[in-house]
Amino acid sequence: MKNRVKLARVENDLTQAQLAERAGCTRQTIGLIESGKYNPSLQLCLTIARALNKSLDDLFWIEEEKNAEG
Amino acid sequence: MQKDERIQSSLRGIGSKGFGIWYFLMLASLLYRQFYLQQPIEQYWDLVVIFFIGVIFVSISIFAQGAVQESSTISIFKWMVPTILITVVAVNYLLGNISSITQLIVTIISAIIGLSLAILIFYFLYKRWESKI
Repeated sequence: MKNRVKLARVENDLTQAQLAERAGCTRQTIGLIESGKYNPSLQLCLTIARALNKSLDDLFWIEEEKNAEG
Repeated sequence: MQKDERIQSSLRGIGSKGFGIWYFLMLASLLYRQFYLQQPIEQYWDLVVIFFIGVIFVSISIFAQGAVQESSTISIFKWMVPTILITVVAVNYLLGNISSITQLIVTIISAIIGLSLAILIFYFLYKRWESKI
């Protein structure tokens, strides 16, 4: 699963720690999600999306889907 | 603040590995006491009880959660023959020599009944979970 959490976070002028606090997780988890080393649950994806004022589709996608679309 | 799901997931993984280590150490300890030290089972029955409670708890929990697919339930039947053989050997070793065909048949029938009951319980748990979804 790919994501653009880091880009959206920077757009919102938030640090990893601030986003983590809003999403109810640790800064390390946000770091791992951004680097693609951890796949969050749907609940956490939705929480992060809400915290960044984005839709789920904007932030997360499966790589194959993007390739198929492209 | 809610608990971090990644940490919870890691903790579950550690618990799972911990159970695996506990399981094999307990099994090794029981086999060592029985076959190397040749202690009578009366001297370590408490460990046997703890071991079986742990194993049965995990097995029932796995089935109750529906974590085992139908194909896995069927695969239990594949283990019937080796399990019965092990039971016969264990009964022969622990309770004295099986000296007659009748004793052998009784042992095999007992093993089949015990196994069937266990499978029935697991199957019931699986179906109960399946009916919930």
